[in-house]
Amino acid sequence: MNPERWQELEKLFQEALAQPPEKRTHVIESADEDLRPHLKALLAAHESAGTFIESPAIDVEARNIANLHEPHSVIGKVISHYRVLEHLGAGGMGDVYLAQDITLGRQVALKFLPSNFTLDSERLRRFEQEARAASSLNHPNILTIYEIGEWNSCRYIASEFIEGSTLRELIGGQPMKIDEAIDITIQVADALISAHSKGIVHRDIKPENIMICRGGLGQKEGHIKVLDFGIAKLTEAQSSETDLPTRPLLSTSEGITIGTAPYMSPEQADGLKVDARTDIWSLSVVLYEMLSGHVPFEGATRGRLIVSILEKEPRPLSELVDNIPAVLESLVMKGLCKRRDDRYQTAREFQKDLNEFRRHPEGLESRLTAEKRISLSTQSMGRSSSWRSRAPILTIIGAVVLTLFGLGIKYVWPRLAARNTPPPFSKFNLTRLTSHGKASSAVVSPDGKYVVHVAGTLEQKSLWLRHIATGSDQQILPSNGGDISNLSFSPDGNHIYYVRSAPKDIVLETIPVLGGTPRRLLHDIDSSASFSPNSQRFVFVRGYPINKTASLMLANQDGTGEEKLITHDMNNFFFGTAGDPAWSPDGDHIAVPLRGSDSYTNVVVVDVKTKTEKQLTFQRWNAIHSICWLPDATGLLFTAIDAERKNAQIFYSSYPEGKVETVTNDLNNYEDLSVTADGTSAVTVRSEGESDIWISSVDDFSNPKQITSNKFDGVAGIAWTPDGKMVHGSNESGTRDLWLMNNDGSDNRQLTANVGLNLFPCVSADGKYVIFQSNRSANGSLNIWRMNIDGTNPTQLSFGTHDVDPRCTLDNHIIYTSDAQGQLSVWKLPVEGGTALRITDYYASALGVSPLDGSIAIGLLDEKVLRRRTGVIASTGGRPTKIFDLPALFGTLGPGFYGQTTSWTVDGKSLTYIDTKDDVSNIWAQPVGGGPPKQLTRFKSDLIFYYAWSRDGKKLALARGRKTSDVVLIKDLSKQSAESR
Amino acid sequence: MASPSPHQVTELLLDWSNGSQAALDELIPLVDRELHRLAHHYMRQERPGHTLQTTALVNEVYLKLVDQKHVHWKNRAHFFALSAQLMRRILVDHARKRKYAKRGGGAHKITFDEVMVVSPARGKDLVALNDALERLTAIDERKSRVVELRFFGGLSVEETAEVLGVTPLTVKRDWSMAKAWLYNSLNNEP
Repeated sequence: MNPERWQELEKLFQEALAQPPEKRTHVIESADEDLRPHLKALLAAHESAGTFIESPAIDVEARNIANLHEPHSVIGKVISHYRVLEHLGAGGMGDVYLAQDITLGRQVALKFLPSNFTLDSERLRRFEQEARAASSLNHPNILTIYEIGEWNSCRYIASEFIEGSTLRELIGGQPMKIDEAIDITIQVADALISAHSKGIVHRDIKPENIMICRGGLGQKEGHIKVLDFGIAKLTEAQSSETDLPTRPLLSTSEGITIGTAPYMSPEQADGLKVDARTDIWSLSVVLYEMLSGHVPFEGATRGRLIVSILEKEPRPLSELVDNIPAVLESLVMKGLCKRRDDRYQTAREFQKDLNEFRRHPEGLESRLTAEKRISLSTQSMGRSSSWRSRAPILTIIGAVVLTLFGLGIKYVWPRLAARNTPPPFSKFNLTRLTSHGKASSAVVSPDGKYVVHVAGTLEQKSLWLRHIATGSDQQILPSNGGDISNLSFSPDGNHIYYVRSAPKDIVLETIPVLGGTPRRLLHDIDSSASFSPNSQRFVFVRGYPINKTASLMLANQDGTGEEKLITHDMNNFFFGTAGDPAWSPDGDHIAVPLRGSDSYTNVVVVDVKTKTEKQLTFQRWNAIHSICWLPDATGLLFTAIDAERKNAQIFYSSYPEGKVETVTNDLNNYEDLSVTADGTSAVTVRSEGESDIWISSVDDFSNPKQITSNKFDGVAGIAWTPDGKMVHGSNESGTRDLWLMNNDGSDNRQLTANVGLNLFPCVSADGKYVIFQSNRSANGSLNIWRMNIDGTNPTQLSFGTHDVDPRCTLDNHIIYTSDAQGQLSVWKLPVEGGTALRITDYYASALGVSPLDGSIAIGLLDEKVLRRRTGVIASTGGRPTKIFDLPALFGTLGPGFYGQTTSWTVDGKSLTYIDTKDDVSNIWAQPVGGGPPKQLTRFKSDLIFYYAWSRDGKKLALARGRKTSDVVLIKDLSKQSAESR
Repeated sequence: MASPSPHQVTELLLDWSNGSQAALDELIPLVDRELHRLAHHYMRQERPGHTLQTTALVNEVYLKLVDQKHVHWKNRAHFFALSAQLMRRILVDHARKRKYAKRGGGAHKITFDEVMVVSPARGKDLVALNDALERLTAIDERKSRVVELRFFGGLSVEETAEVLGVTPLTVKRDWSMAKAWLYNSLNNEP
C-alpha cells in the first residue's frame, strides 16, 4: 500500500472509531472497493484485539526470565489446604501445579490466576460465574473442578489431575480407525448431554480440549475427559480501551482465536448467540477430522476460513478416505448443517445415531436419507430462524425481483414478506379493561369478543364476563368463598373452565359462558385445563406431594379417562405453583413449563404420541406461569419471571427454533395470558403498586406518621443508619433506585442512578456503607454491592448468578442468599469484600440477623410437607436450632415483587413478620423463646410492603400502600407495521 | 558480580546510538544480567499467580540504564527511545531462545488446553509480533515506533509523545491503528 492510500485508510479508520460500532457502516461504505476490505479487517481487529499488547512485553517476559532459573518457587509450600508438589506448566492464564489436597489426600491440578487477570473485575466476574457453573458439572467425561478458591488474595482453581494426551496429539493429520473415532465422539457427546441439561454450552470443543486418559490413577485407559466447560467464554473479546497502562498481553499471545477457528460454528462465525447446537457442530468437525485427518473447513486466512464455514460445503469424506460408510458420512453431515435447525438438535440425538451406527447401520441409513428429504423441503418453506439479520438481504432480493420481473412479483413477494416479519407482539398497544384493581385471573374468548375474569379479595372471588365491544359486565358466578383461578375457554368458546380451591379440595369446574349451572369435572388439579383443538381432551398438571412427583395429565372433555402423559419430580413442575400447560393448534404437542436441574424454568414441548420431551427455550427464568400458542404454531407467548428481576413479564418464543424475544419490559407484573384464535390480541392481568413510608413509635403503634407521599417509596426495602436516617428503595426514578433521607422525609437524595435495579439496602454497623443487591453488572446477574453512605464508590462484592437479600451483621459481615452451587443457600461475606462462605449446606434463604447475638433467621423448605418454614441458625451457620411456622415468609413487595421481610426486634427476643389478610397487612412478633405470636400494628387498610426497626429499637419504619391488578388487552401491531412498510 | 554502573551503561548506549556495534555487544549482556537480577528479585517478592510489579521493574531497569544526572533533560527522550529498542532486542531474543528450547525439549508431560496450560505459542508470538512490527515499519515507521516505545519500552502515552515530539492524541491514534493492524496481521494472515 502506498503512503497516500495508507493515510486514507487511517483517516477512515479513525473516522469509523469515532462512531459506535453499529454506526460504522456508512464510513465503511464510503471507502472505495480496494480499501474497504482493509478497513473492515482493521475495524474487526480493533473490536476483538482486547488487551492485546496493552501491557508491556517485559511484564510477561520477566516472569519467563526468572522462571528459566527458578521456576518452582512455590513448590513444597502449603497453599490453602494444598501442598504444592510439582510445576506442570505455565499457561497464559496462570501457572499449573501438581498438588496434594492435605485434607482429602488426593492429587489435584492447581492453577493460579495471575493478578492482572484478577484485577480486571469484569473478567474475574465472568471467570467466577463460568467456573462456578462449570464446577457444578459432575460427569465421568468432564474434568472435575474441585474448588475455586482464594488464598492471600490470589485466586486458584483446583481440578482433577489427569495424565494422558490430548486428541490433538492422537490425530496428527492421519485418519483414525472408525471405531476409535466413534467411541471418542460418543464419550464427548455424553459429556455434552450432561452439560447441556444444565444449560452450560462448552463453546470451544476441539481436539485440544479432549483428553484421552493414559490409565492408572483410577482412570481407565482411553477414557475421555472434556476440559474447560464454560471457560471458553472468558476468551471472547474483552474490553478494547487502548489507554489502560497495564493490561495483560496474554489474551492474544495464547493464540486462542487462531487455534479455535476451524471448529467454530457458523453462528459463532456470524457473531450470533450460541446454544447447545454449537457444540454439536464443533464435535462434528472433530469427528470429521478424526475420520479423515483433515478439518472440513479451511482457509489461508481467518477471513477465508470464516467464509468457508459460513458458505462452503465440506469435501465429502468419501473423497478423502477409502471405504467410509455412506451412512457415517450422512451422520457427520447432519452435524455440519449450516442452519442450526437442520442439525442434530441435541447431543443425545447425535449420540443415539452414533450408537445406532455401531449396531444397525442399515436402519440408520434409511432414516437419515428420509430425513434429508424432509429437511430439504421444509427448509425452502420454513420461516427463517434469524429474520432480523437476514431482513436486509431479503429486502434487497425483493427489490431486485421487483425490478426484474415486474408482474411476477405477486407470487414471490408475500413469501419473502412473511420471512421478513418481525416477531409477533414486538409492537403492541395496551388497553385496561377493568379499573377496580382487584382482578386476579383473566382469559379471552377464542373469537376475541369476551373476556372472563376473576375479581374480589382472596376470600371472596366471583367470575365476571365482559363484552369487549360494549364494555358491559355480567357476573356469571357469584362468590361462595374460596379462590377461583386458572381460567380457560373451550375451543368453541361456549364454556369457561376454572379451578376452585375449596378448603380441602381443588376442583376443576365448568360453566356455560352465558351463565348456567357450574359442573364439577375432576378433583385435584394444579394448573388450568388446556384443550386439544378438537375439544375431545384436555391437559393439566397434578402434583403428588406424597411421592414427590408431578405429572402432566390428560383427561376426556367430561373429566373421565385420566391418564398420565409424563411424570417428573415435583420440583420440576412446581415453582411455588405449577405453570399452565398449552395444547398446540395441530394437536400433536403440549407446551409446559418445567424446571431443569439447573433450577431454571423453561418451556418444554411434549409430543403427545411418543411422550418425548424437547426443551424449547434455554433461558434463566425462575418461573413461567401461563403459556399460549399462536394459532399458526409459529410461536408461543408466555409470562415468566426472569431470574434477575422478580416480576413476571410477557415473552415470545418462536417455534420450533426457541428464539426468545421480550414483549413487555417494565416494573409491572403480568400473570395469566391467553390469545385469541386469530392471534391478534392477548389478555393478561397486570399488577401495579403504590407505596409510601410511614414511621411509628414502638410505644404506640396506633398513630403512625406518613413521611413520604409520592407513591413509590420503600417498596424495594428500607434500612436505618445509626444516626437515624433512612436508606430506601424507591420507584421514583422509574426504576428501582436507592435514596437516603431524614426520618421526617426531608432531604431525600438519590444514591443510585441509571445503573439497573438497586434493591433491599442494609447499612453496615458503623454506618459507613450501604449494602444492596443490584443487576448492574454487564450480564445482568443479581449481585451484592457496596457503596459509601453518600452513594459514592460502588463496589461489587459477590459474583454469583443470583445473590440477593443482603443483611448486615454487627460484626461487619453480610448474610445473603445465593443460588451458587445449584441450590439456594445462605452465604456470608465480609463487608470489606473477600471470600464468600456458604453457611447452610441445605436449601435455605437469608431472612434477618439478630442484633443481639448475630443468630440468623432463615427460610427453609420442609421437604416432608413441602412447606416453607422459618428457622433460626447460629451466626456461623449450620442446621437450624429452632423452627417456626410463621404465616408469611415472603412479604408482598408491590406487584409480583417478593422479598424476605422477616426481621428481629432490636432486643433479639422476637422474630417479626408481615401478615396480610383481606388485603390488609399488619406486623406481628413471634417470641423466639416460644409462645404465641403477638400482633403489633393494628392497621385497618393497606398492604405493608416492607418495614425496618430503627437501630435504637424505638421507631418502626413501614412502606405501606396498595396493589392494584386489572385486566388489560394487548393488541399486536407488529403485523400492521410490517405490512405498511 | 556487581551491577553495571549507570554511567557505564549510559556511555555504551551513547556509543551504540553513534553507530558502534561493539558497544551493543557489550551492552546487551550487561542489561540482560541486570534484567535477570531484577526479575528474580521481584519474583521472590511475589505470591504465586501474581505478575510482576511491571512498572517498578521497568523503571528500575531504566534507572540502571540511564544515568539521570549526566543526561540533559533534552536527551531523556533519546535515551527512552534507545532503551526501548534495546529492550526489544533482549526480550525478543529471550522469546526466540525459549521457543527453541520448547521445540527441542518437548518438556510438558501433561497437556491441558491452552487456557489451563503451557502455551508453547507464547514465545513464538513475541517473535511473530516482532516480525509484524518490522513489516509495519516499512509502511508507517512512526506507528511502529509508538509500539516499540510503549510495548517494548513500557513508556506511557505522554512519554511516548515526548520521545516522538508529537501530541499524546497522535500517539493514541497511532496506537489504535497499529494495534488493530498488528492484531489483524498476526491473526488473519497465514
